[in-house]
Parts: sequence; C-alpha cells; structure tokens
Amino acid sequence: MGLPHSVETVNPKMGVHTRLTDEVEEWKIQRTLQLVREMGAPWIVEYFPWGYIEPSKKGELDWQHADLVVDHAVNQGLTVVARLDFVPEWARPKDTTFRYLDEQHFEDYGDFVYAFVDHFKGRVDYFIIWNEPNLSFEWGYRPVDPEAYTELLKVAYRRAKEANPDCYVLNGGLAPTIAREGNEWGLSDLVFLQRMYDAGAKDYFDILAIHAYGYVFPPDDPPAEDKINFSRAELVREVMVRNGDEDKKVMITEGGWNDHPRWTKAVRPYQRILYTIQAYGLAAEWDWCQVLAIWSFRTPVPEKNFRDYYTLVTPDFILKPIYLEIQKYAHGATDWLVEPE
Amino acid sequence: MRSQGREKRLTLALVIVLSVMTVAAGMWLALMPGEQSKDETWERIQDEGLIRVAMDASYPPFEFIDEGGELVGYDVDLAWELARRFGVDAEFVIISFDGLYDALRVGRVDLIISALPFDSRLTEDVVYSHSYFNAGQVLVVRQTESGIVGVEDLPGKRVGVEWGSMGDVEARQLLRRMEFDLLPYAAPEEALAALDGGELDAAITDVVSTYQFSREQAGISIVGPPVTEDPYVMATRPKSFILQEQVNTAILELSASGFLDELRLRWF
Repeated sequence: MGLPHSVETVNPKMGVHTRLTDEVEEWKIQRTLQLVREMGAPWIVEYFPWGYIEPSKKGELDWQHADLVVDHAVNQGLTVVARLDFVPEWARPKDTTFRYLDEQHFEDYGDFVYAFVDHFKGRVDYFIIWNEPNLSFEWGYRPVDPEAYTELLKVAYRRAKEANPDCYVLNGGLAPTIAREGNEWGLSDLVFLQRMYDAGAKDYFDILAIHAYGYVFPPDDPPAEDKINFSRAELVREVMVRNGDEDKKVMITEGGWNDHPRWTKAVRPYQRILYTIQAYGLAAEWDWCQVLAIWSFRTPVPEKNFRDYYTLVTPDFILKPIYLEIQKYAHGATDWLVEPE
Repeated sequence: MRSQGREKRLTLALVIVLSVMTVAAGMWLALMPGEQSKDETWERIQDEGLIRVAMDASYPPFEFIDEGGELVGYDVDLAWELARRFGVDAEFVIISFDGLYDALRVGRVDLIISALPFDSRLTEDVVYSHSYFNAGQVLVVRQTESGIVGVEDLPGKRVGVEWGSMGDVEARQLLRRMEFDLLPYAAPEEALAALDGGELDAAITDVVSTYQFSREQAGISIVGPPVTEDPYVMATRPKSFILQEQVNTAILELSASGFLDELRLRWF
C-alpha cells in the first residue's frame, strides 16, 4: 500500500470518474489512483456493482475487489463517492438486464446498501443510489418512472442511514436529456427531478447528483431547456431552488467533453482541454457545486469506440495531453489557456 | 519410482480422456450437419430480398445525415454495394453506437457497418469481417521530401500534430527515444497546411483528415506504415456463417477491384 498521501491542488472541487470495476491487477488499481492524485483531483466517483459483490446468493458478499479499490484510494488521499447499482441475477426475473429492479426486490437492494455503507464506514461517506434513472436503458428498458425510483431512493436512504447516520446519500446521477413525457428512451432531467420532488424525494437525499456533458458547446454556453450543454446544470439547480432545496449541494458525478475525430457530438482535442479546465473553474465559482467529476479517467482496456476519447489516460498508462494540462492547472499554472499557434 | 509411475498413468489417462473428448466433439459436429450448414440469417435475407444494416449515423464521412435529410457516407455506399452483390435490397437501421451490438444480438439487424473498430473482447459474441479501412494515425510528408520514409527518420525534424490528438500522444511517445521539434496545431488541416507550406518536415495526423486535405492540396503524401492501427470491420452473429463468407469475399473483391479506393475518393 505504501505511505499515505494527500492531494495537492488549487481547486478542491476537482474530481474524476474512475473505471476500476473491471481492473483486475492490484498494481494497475494503485497506479490509476496514484495518477489521479498526481493530477490534482481530490475526488473520485467509482462504480461498485451490486452484482459483483453479492453475485450468486443473498447474503454472500465478496468485498475483496471493492476493498482493494477503496483502500488504495484512501491511501492516495482521495475521497470516494461510491455508485451502487447492477442487479444480480438472483434479484431479477430471467431475461431482464442488470438494470432491472422491480419493487419486490427494493428491500434486497436496501439490504445491500446497508451492508456496503456499514462495511466501508470510516472509509467511504458518499453513496450514489442507482445511475441515470431517467433513461429507459438504466431502468431495465422499462418506461422511466420517477415515482418508483423515488420509492427505491427512500428505501436506500433509510438503510444507508441505519448503517451510518453521518453518511451522505446522493440520488442516481440524472442524465442530461431533452426527452419529453412519453418518449420511450427517457425523460428530461428537469422534469424527472420535479416529479421526484412531487413524489416526496426531498427528504431522501443529501446531495443532488447530476451529469453534465458539454457535447459541442463551451462550458459557458448559456443553458436552455431544449439544449444539452454543460451549463444545463444551472437549470437543474433552479429546480432544486424552486422546491425549497437550495441548502443542498450538487455533485456533477459525470461530465465533460469528447474529442473523437469524427463523432458529431465531439470537439477538437484542444477544445476539450480548454473546456475541461474552464469547467473545473466554473465549478469552483458555483457555490452550490461540491464536485465536478470528469468522465472518465481511464478504462482497463480500450473501449474501441468514441468512448476512448473521453479518457485522460490510456489503458496502458500513457498520459494524454489533456491530463498534463489539467495537472498544470491544478498545480497553479496560468499558461494552460494558450492555444496552439 | 512409484510416484513417477503414478504420474505416467495419470498423464496417460489424461491423454486418453482428452482424445475421447476430441473424437466425441468431432463426431458431434459431424452428426449435426443441420446446425452447421444452415444460416438462418442468410436464408431470411434471400427469402425477403432484404439485408438489414445497423449504423450510427453520426460519424461523417462514414455515415451521417446530409443537409437534405438523407443517410449518406462511405459505409452507406459500401452497404448498397454489398446488397447489390447479394441480389437484395438494403434497409438501414439507425441506432446509437452503444446499441449496435445489442441490435445484432437480438436479431433486429443482420450486419453492422458503422466505422466499427475491431474489438478483441467481443470475438465470442460476434464474428468480424476482414478490415476494409484503417483509420489510424499516419506519417505525412511533402511529395518532394525523400529523406523521411518512416518515423525513424524524424530525429532533428520539425513535426506537426493536432494538439491533444492521438497523433500528439504518439509523437510524445516517440520523443522519449528520439529528438525532434514537436509543433502543435489547433486542427489537423492546419498542421497539414503548415507542412504543405514548408513550415514543417512531417506531420502525424489521422488518415481521414489527411485524405480530405490531400484532395485539395496535392503536395503531400503518406509514407511508411501507419503510425497506429485502427481497423474498421463489419460484424455478424456467430451463426451467420454464410453471410460472413459472402461479406469477406466481397471485401476482398472490392479491394482488389479498386472499389474501396473509389469510395475513399468519393467521400474523403
């Protein structure tokens, strides 16, 4: 494990979403987290699939890999935000996806949340309940259901607090989408959140998790309900304020830009560098924003598609130029905004 | 001695078991000709006169929606040519990249043609075709340049890249073992223009941008092997073995006949 470290940074809100779920070798887990620390990001969001930890039978929990990730993260001085989802086969009907959880199994998920929060007490304080529940894909290819999701959130909140009253419960990060009511693929994050409030969600999360992707727009592009850009986060914040929830913080648990050479939702690589650093700066200015975690730091193997162009470090640990520029920013450099001649 | 004898017997037993299993597997395959000779996908394509092709139409110039709302691009034309060869019509199913493999797996489409990179992790789930395009990074020089035929000739030279691109990443890796001046530009076209104008000795850029630039400016050429490999392939279900064979045969013939070069000139 080595000596404990701490993160040096000029912006304590900097975070990244790591992807260590399928990283097998311990040295790669350690190296990844070391690079996060050296870049200057004190926060990581990491995915801990229920189906990996409790795969075959209720009550048989295997913490080995999750312990490895958390212990190395803590040793590097990083604060872990744990995302909890992925339904094991025993908790869902045959021929459903790992995102499918019916109400009969909400308590099973609640039991897992309790076990996870209890196991990591003192090491992990932040827990995300599900992921992008406003997308049909993330809701088991069923129509999205803010009211049902709110019921799930209530179960998870209650069980998490039973295990550790001082922990922080986050809702499943809402995906930015402009899909209207009745769309088979999803529902606007703004509408979904309002319906969560209407269903009584306010007292069942401590921090609001959202996702903020910029696509082809710079971070200061003005927000609009019919547009997906980074500053859409401000509109989500307005929904919170309208519902009297302004005292809570927001965590952007996924976000950023892509620089695939041909994808129509991507920007040029130099723009990704500039926009990402500007976004970290914006997050620092937004007093309601606690963390901006960029998607994603590194994957264990190449994804072999546009998703490879979201990362900051390659699977074989080559530091992309964007990593080096973010690192300069995090350590106080002021010349990172110089565009190439 | 007794221990060695037991090991020999165990080894012999293992060989016998493996041999029996191999023979049994061979007999099973031989006795199940129906499973091997029937390609339901190919039969359906022939019966209905239609091949269903999945693509994510957000990757110009391979597949995209043009200003007139039409689906067009290199892969679209390639799919039409395959359909013509198979004697059927083509239906395009537009799906986001994340859903392409699911659509193939559940039988909603017959074939993926979508600037699809080869992915070694999925070779048990799908069968990939021969590569029909390599979209990696390439080394580019002026046509009058004779002293650079590969990256090993870069020491002491001025090399341009798109800032932050994978070409930039590769150039920085080369700098760990050789010395040259690395000059970043905001876009690959700018690096190539600087090369064409004599400000650079070489550039490392993605091949599509390079082809597109060289259409307008004839003074540059790609030299040496690709700096990085990024082969584009098509994907079928594992049981679509006749379709796979037909696709692979077509790719080889279209390459040999110059059709793929024509497509490149049409779109890049």
